[in-house]
Amino acid sequence: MSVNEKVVDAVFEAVDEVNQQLSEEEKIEKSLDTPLTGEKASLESLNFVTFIVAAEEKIEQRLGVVISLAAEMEASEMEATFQTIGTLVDYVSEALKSNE
Amino acid sequence: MNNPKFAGVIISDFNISNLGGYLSNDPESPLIEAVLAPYGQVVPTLTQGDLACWRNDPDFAVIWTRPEGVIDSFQKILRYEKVSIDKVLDEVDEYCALLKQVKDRVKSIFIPTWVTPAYHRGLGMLDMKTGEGVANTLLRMNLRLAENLEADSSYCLLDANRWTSLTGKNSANPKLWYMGKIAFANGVFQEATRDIKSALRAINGNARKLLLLDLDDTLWGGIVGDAGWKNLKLGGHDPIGEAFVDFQSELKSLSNRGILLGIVSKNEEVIALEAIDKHPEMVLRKNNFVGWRINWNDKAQNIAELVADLNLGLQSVVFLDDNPVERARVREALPEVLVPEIPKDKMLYRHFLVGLSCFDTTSVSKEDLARTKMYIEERTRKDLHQQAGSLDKWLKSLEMRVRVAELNEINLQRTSQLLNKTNQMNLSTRRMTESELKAWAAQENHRLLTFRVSDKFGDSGLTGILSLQVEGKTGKIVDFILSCRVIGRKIEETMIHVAVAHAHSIGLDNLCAKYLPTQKNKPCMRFFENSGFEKKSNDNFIFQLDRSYLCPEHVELTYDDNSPGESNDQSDDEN
Repeated sequence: MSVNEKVVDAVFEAVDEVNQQLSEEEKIEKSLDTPLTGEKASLESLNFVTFIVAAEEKIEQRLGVVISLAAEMEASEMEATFQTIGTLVDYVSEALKSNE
Repeated sequence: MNNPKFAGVIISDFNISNLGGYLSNDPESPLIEAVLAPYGQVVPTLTQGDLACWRNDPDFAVIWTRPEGVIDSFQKILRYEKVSIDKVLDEVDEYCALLKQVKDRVKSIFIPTWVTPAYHRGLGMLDMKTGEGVANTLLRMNLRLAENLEADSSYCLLDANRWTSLTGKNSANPKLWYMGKIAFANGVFQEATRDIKSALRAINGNARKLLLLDLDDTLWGGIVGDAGWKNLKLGGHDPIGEAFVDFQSELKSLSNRGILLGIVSKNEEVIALEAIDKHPEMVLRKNNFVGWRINWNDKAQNIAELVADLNLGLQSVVFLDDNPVERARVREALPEVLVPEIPKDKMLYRHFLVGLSCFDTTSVSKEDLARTKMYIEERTRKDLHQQAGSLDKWLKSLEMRVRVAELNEINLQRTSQLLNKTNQMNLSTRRMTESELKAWAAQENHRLLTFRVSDKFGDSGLTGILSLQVEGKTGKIVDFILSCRVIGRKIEETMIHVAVAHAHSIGLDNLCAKYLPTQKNKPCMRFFENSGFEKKSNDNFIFQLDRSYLCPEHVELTYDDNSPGESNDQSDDEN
């Protein structure tokens, strides 16, 4: 399994975790195109925080790497990173590759 | 199976919307509609009953606080500032006084115990020192919380420490706190959801009562029919054998607190029972089981027959079997039976068993502790019935005694338990806490009578309830409840006799009873249809008090002091 695939699995696991707290109408799709922020954001702010922290934990569990996403959430230059699940996955995969 | 819905108010000094989400969206019964109290407004929410969160008439409340959020002295302990343990406990007492203010607004109040994050080491080797250590102080605070609240059964302390232990080192992530004031990780809220739902099931009378077990590779290792009992893996210097012994010991512990055990196995009965009798490492023997079906028939059919024989409902049953095919068959044929996925690894059996929440109950009474013995006595009665032939002859041979008593402090717990757990012979299926029951019985024109049944084989305990509400010249039977254990021995008629005798003594004109149908209480309807009461429209029954109602001849009836009626009141009038 490639690093990217492992990151996708970890992030989708975080989606599963958050979805358990949501009603059927609120649940977000496990898709790389699912929007996370902006006008079309699928999660309200508190669920988004929970999702990001869960994603960090799942990435650490699956890949054995500590990555800090929560601290970057408010940074304006990171806006694009959190736009969709896909952009988040790309960011994490790149960060992991550059650390190798 | 019905899936009741409960409304709950969730109160906290931290952001608890994640718990609200889990409670509201978890599909397991019972369903919950959770309303969050305003964040960080614990004291106003507890003291002001007119806040919006109380308006939808909630069934329960969860009041979950951090110790440093509500006990000022504990904050000082965390900062290593000197404060006496007495001062800390005084503040706990004050907090408990606040908790008691919600008592009249909800039926049940769940209070998770106080915990600190697992990553917080406190003072290390000094942490269990009185007046100094964080862990020591927290233990005493939680104990004081328990002591202050245990007298009132509306309050239920839940062990949050277990939730954080199960979740592990990530049970509290500081990032969640700084970013959202969320004190715990999702794993903790999931465990909390599980325990809150389990408690609600117990309160609603849905705790499981009967555990049916397979034998081969479930109670012991190996196939007894092939290997013989001497070659079974059970006990000895063998990790799997030891694991089976521990599993049986844990099953016996369940039995000790009132859970019934039974066997459903595909085997030759003689061979299987020989193993149970003779294997020296068997912890469970024949007299630990209330019944068995050991044959080559379909297990679902066997379960249905055994459960009917025991006068229980399928919704009371849990079935454990190592064979996934048998588990699937029972799940499909008997969806009301709980069939958990038992681990493949036998060394995990005990671990799995002690993690089950389906047997959680609100109280353990003396009757619970003697339940297996009572069922075995019942087996003896049935054997006698077969020998005796006619029903009347059999009933007479039992030498039955029924003792009537008013609701009192001594029988309150058991009466409440019976009220909340009985489904089949139950006229109105009211569910009440002990406090509510006591308050109802204390009202003028209300009367609550309990019935204790025994015979020559043993004491079945407090197994009947009849409550009466007088309105003018009419006595309204509100509760008519009889444990399935003693159905069919004319205790029902004895209870009606007592009600009629009492109604006569206070000059009433008639007795009425309104049957409220549920999925399970048809036996009660059938009794009233054949009882001598006249059936009116809309499931209303009426008995005119211009005549008496005979006490069944085979029953010796006695009354405790202060109970209404007279002993052995039999008249020649017709029923």
